[in-house]
Amino acid sequence: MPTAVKSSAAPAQLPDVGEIERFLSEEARMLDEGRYDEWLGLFTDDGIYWVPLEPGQTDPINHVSLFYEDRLLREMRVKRLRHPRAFSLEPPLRTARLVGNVMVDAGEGGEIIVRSTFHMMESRRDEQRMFGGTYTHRLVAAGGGLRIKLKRVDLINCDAVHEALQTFI
Amino acid sequence: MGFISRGELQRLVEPDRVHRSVYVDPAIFDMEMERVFGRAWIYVGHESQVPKPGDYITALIGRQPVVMVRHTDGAIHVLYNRCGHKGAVVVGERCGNAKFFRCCYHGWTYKTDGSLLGVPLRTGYEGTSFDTTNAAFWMAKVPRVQNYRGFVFASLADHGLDLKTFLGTALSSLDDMVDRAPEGQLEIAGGCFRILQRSNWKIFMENLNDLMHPMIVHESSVEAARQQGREVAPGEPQPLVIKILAGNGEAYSFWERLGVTVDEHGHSFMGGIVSPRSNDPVFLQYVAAMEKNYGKERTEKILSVNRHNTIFYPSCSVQASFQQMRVIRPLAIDRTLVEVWNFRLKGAPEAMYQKTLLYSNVVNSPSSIVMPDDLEAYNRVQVGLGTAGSDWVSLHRDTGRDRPGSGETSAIGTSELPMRNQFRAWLRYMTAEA
Repeated sequence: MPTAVKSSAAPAQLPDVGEIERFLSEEARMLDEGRYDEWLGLFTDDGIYWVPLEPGQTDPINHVSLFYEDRLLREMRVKRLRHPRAFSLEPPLRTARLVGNVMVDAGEGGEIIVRSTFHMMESRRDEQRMFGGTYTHRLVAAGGGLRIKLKRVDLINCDAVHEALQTFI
Repeated sequence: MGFISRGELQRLVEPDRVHRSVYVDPAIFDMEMERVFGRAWIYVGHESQVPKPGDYITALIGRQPVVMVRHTDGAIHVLYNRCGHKGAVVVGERCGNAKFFRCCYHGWTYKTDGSLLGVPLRTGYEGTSFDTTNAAFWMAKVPRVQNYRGFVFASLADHGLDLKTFLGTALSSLDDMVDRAPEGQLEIAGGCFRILQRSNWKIFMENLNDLMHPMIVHESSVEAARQQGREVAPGEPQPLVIKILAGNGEAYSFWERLGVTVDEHGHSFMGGIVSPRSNDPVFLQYVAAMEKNYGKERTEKILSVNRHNTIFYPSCSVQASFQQMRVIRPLAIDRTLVEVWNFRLKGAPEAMYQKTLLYSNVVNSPSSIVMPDDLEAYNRVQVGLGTAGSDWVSLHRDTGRDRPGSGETSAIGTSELPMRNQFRAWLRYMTAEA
């Protein structure tokens, strides 16, 4: 397991890094297993899923992004992923992801900032692709668990030429 | 490089069908790079990408890497991105600003008009024909460059039609793009998606005004949007993204009515699917800005135009209602790079620009729920045409029912006229003597 490094300034109420790691592993598993309803349920009502197009991109409104999805767009993508005539998912793609190097810090207003590194393998037909980068989760405690206010995915090749990107990363 | 005779080329293109080899034969691709992309006006970039002296972008014209750069005197030059010494590509970045260009190999330096600024260690050239003032040692300018209202096109041929004549009827779609800006100027902004298509460039070019495909290829995203729309609370307006994505699912009669218009150099445009006009406060504010600068009548005239894609054969297409531009850079017979650019209308509310980017995100990005099904279809065509199942691709729909106009020709939207017209232009390029 990766070593967790807690900020020395972290207040006492920060969750244990083990709990955060379980959260990230469970989230990754939901996506890998296509349990999209559960995954959608992890977000707060105003939660955002964001994959910038440029390294270090700060603005999702005045610059295009690979994904900048609120609840409506996430739900619509799930509906499309499940549609029998999504031809580019014929046969469906499969993913497996590994999340590590988890660091937990306190954010503003009681938010928990979690940074991690991921690899995601994606397989479709006879081809396999590999994606990698960092996740930044802004989490809040709600309803006895953790909810995602922002999931930011910084692909190391975000500004490269891309083929179709269909599933959540 | 393979060579295919004029007679053989003519046998590949019939009035209502084309031979599959135009999509799969690498020798055809080689010839296209010389005869189509080497002759036609090719879009390079927009002047707003190089606002200050020294600003540059790199691009491709066919197989030729080029640099579009603003010189100290304000002129925009398009230079072959090739050192005058050993031929190395000089500029490695996609964009930037440079006082001068310096080759990474032996340090030859060039001014931003391509002329040779200097070479290290000048001793050694005495008594040779090397001469810094001889353009043979410079970064060469491409033969012709023309700027139409900010859109910079170049031609690798030293003679031929001027840009306006070449664009013909389609010129009005560039006007449509620019006229929509209250200040009469556009600015490229917000980043560029670059998409790799595993298919021939002509497959994408044909698809842009193919109005028989949206309801089939995009069924999954249309249905997703419709289902999502049904979850919107009663009385609440349908979000713009739902309208845009569900638009692909309109009935055939809708697409027929949109119509397509073509002219002789392969260009074409179709009617608009979703109108950007609305009564929301942002749009009304935009209309007010337009009326302030153009007056009511002219504004109404500008905004009453509603076109979806306009193709400027063979290098790009624009969509004026949401300020989109897609640029086609063929890489190989079965590989195509498509760049997706967005424009800001100068003088329009920022929220208009943000809608442009939203449109780009949800429709034209490689990660939209629309684009992957297009890419899948293009690739299946590419793979399928490699088989010996049949040698011919059918372009028969609505043949013989074109409506000739003054210069341009139009047809109902579901006609395959735009494809037939592209191949007429293609054959002319391919069989013309240089």
